[in-house]
Amino acid sequence: MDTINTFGEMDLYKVADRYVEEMLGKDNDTSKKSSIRVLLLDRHTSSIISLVSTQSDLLQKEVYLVDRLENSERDKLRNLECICFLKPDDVTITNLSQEIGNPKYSNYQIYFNNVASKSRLERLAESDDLEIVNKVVEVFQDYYVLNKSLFTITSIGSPYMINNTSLWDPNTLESSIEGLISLLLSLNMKPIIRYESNSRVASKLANAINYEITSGKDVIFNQLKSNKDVPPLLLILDRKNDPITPLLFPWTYQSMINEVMGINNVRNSVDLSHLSNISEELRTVLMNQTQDLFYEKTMFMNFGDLSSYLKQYVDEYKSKTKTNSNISSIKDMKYFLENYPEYKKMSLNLSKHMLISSEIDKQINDLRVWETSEFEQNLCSNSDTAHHDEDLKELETLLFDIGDGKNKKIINDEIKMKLLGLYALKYESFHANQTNTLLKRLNNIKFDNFVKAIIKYGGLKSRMKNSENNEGNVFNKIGSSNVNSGGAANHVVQLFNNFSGSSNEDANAYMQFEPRIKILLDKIKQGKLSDVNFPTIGENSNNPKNVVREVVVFMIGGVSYEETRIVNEFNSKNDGFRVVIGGTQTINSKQFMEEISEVCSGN
Amino acid sequence: MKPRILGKSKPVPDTPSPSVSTPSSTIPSPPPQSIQCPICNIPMSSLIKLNNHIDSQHLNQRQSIPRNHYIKSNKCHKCNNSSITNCCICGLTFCSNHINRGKVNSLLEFDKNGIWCDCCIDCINKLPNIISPINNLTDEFKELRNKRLINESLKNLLLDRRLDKVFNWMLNNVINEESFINFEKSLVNWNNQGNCQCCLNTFTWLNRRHHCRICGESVCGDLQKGCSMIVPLGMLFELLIVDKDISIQERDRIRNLLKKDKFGLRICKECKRRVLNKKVFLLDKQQFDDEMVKFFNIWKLISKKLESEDLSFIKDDLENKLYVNYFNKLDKLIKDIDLFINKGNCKNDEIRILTNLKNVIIKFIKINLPILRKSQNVKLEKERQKLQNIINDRPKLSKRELREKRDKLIVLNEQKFLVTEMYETFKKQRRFDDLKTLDINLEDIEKEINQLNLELGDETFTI
Ligand SMILES: [Zn+2]
Ligand SMILES: [Zn+2]
Ligand SMILES: [Zn+2]
Ligand SMILES: [Zn+2]
Ligand SMILES: [Zn+2]
Repeated sequence: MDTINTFGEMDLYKVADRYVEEMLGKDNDTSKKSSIRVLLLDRHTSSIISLVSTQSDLLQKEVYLVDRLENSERDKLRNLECICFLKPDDVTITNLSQEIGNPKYSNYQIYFNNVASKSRLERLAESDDLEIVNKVVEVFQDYYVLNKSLFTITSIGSPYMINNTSLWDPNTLESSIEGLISLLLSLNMKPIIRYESNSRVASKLANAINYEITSGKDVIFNQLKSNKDVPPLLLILDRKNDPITPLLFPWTYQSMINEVMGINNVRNSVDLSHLSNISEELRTVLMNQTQDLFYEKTMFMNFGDLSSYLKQYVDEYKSKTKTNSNISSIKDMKYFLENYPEYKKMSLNLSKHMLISSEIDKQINDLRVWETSEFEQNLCSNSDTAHHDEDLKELETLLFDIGDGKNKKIINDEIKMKLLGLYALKYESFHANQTNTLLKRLNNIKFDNFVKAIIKYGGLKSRMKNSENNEGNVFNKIGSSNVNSGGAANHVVQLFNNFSGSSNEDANAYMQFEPRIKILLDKIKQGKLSDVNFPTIGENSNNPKNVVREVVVFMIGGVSYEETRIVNEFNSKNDGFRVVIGGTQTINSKQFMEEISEVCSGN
Repeated sequence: MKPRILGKSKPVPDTPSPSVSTPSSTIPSPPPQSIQCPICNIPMSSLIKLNNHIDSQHLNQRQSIPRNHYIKSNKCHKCNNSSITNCCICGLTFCSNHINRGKVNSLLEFDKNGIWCDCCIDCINKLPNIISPINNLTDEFKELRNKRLINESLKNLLLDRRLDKVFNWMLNNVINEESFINFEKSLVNWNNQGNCQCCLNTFTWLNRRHHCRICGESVCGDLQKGCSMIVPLGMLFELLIVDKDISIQERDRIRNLLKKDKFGLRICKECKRRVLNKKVFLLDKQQFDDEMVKFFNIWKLISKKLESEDLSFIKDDLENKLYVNYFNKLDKLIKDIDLFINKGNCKNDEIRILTNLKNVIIKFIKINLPILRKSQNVKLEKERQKLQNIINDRPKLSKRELREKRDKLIVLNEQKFLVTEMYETFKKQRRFDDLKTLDINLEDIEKEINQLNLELGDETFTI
């Protein structure tokens, strides 16, 4: 049963739209004449705004010049109005004070994207001798919006100190606090905060957020008007408690794009320039679901469904253009020309997805993902050690390129490293664990280092203990963990018959694994998240814990697109729930492995 | 509502509350030695806590939730599963999959001060969308700014008054070296400090002391350092008139007077900031070449007009002409902008703005011109049709009328034939008097035949 979720969505693009409209929308004051406007941004806000609007959006709102505040080459145009969208940090306040003291434009409306302290406001007021600032407003958008329900903070990168994953990198911590505070405010939330008790970084962030909310430092939290009967939940997680999900090869479109080609975290774009014969317009393509309806429809589809959908789309396009390219009459030609921009847009979009999906198809064949992914899935979708010998044999075949010679392509080291890492994690405490033997056979220092790093980062000593409540379990099979999730679980399993290179294996072989986030969301819904593993911070609420409707999940150490898909699916299948997920950054397996190797490099 | 629990029951040890907030709720039933709030089921570590909890959370909620809207049914309203739970808001019954909990007040609204009730998914779904807040700090900012400006205003007023003196002197005095030097020294007493009041450097024989003529403080004179500079009277005059009413004749007179002179007033950095910057800013704004804004305004004017019109329908030629004219104007505007850019004295940012403006106009034309073309075609087609109709436009005759008229035509033609024959015969017989009557007769017949032919048109000869 698929019901359309009519629940007021927690759509981060809509939040952004509201703020853009607030800043750039036409004044309600109709007596005011419209005029050419300048938009000044800083290094943070220029990315924030380009993730949620296009240049033509801005032109529509009569912003004819967009520039950076810190650009000193700007011309004096003292007949123009200026709108500023800036992060109220020290550097920007200094730059802004200089600008106001010696203005380039006639007047200024200032929008800060986060809470601006009184002392900074004072500094600004001191420079406004000419009384040209006529508006100062806080809007709350100090984070990157990548999907309707996916965000990251703006200083992306590893949150951990080198050699100590229980300590924060100070810059990332500050950015995480700022990002989360502005996100909570923009969603009109004064949440209950829970975090993973075995993570010092999670506890630190939870306490810091709680301090910001309750200390009265940010007055705005006390002014939030809301008639919510139950408070929302902010759940802070540490990547180390699930190192498996980002390592497994994902099989849904958006996740695959990120895994194979990489979706730029700052621009939400994919670089296609390395492909041959790429037209100028397709060198870098945006992955914004609000601007690309095809993407919006397909981003969470599995690769099989995607390819049949794409085929259908191509046929539709062909049939639409055929009648017109046939130019049987002048009338047809005229119609075609009149609607040409639309066709051009459609064909460009079509080319974009054709290029991306065929590149993915090529890569997964070249990299022999069909074999490796099946191994990964079989290995990780259960926590029992009964299949060790089979798993080992399969792993050896892949690691040492044993087998038929017709497979000319050799699996690359990066993937081999990943497979070995997964094995090492799965059989870490198993008596017949062969990791060391395998490492000796491989005789490659890179492998030694990586396995050491991943065990140090997310091994048994580091991960949440797995008890009967299953909250620490990272090796799950779809559906097995659910007590009663309303029949949603098996829905995920789709047939993979349409795959181009699919062997005739078990139909579900590639999507057996279930990320830990799904188990946690189910538990939140049932009110069964344990207080020992997920303590609540701050004031004791009189809220029975089984009533939560809005959840913000924050993943320290990076959120994977597969987790975003789970959240999206959870939202659409659970009426009365809305979840957004975010993290210190987005990751694919390569980025995750690099990060871990870096932060866990020492002893 | 259940009665409040008071008095002693079994003594319960006041367990220290752990740092984690509420004791475990993972265990379905509370441990035997703990107490639960009877209203919201939260476990309590002690009776005292429970009493406090009830006082603070439940006592002011003696409001009760009406139940007279409950509907009796044993089927879930959403999925037909068997069910017994009523949603306290809509009153319908739901199964456990479709019911949740929420806090509801006596008006049957969600309310954080309400009482825990069963609420269905549908009612929860009707909760309003997220309203992202904005925090307007403008008033706070202006207050901060005013506080500072008031602090400065007394001093600024003094300085401003001295500048007014300068202005009046320019208006009312013969300007020559002697009068100027006298005037300059009369403005303010000079202070002889040991170091510059702007940069605090000590004066030496290399770095000589100068005096600001407006505030009288000692400052460095080095232009590079920028602590003070000599502002030519001509330039000062232009600054002073920005916020003053002065006739054009008077203005030009003084301008001419000052043009010849090379007098100037030394003014320090601080005085410039306090009183001159504002005037510089105003002057700048006034002097700005507004060509770019003109282009923009023309574009706004035309686009607004075009947007208010329905281009997909053209009423008449006049309207068509009007529309075409608008597009021609836009076309010309684009050319003007190009011309302006190519003149070569635009600033970089102006070029960027104008290029953007041009692209917006081109995009507008690209979208809207085809609409006009289409409706022009529709109009043309209509006119062609109309013309065709005019050609075909004769009153239609009924079949009977047609027959009668045809008959009449035949008779008339026969008559004509007879009369013509008679006419010839009479002519031969030279009966000229009779010929005259026949003439009139023939004329009448021919008139009638013509009339009938016209009426019948193409259908004259079809039967
Ligand atoms: Zn209670
Ligand atoms: Zn039901
Ligand atoms: Zn209801
Ligand atoms: Zn000085
Ligand atoms: Zn001075």
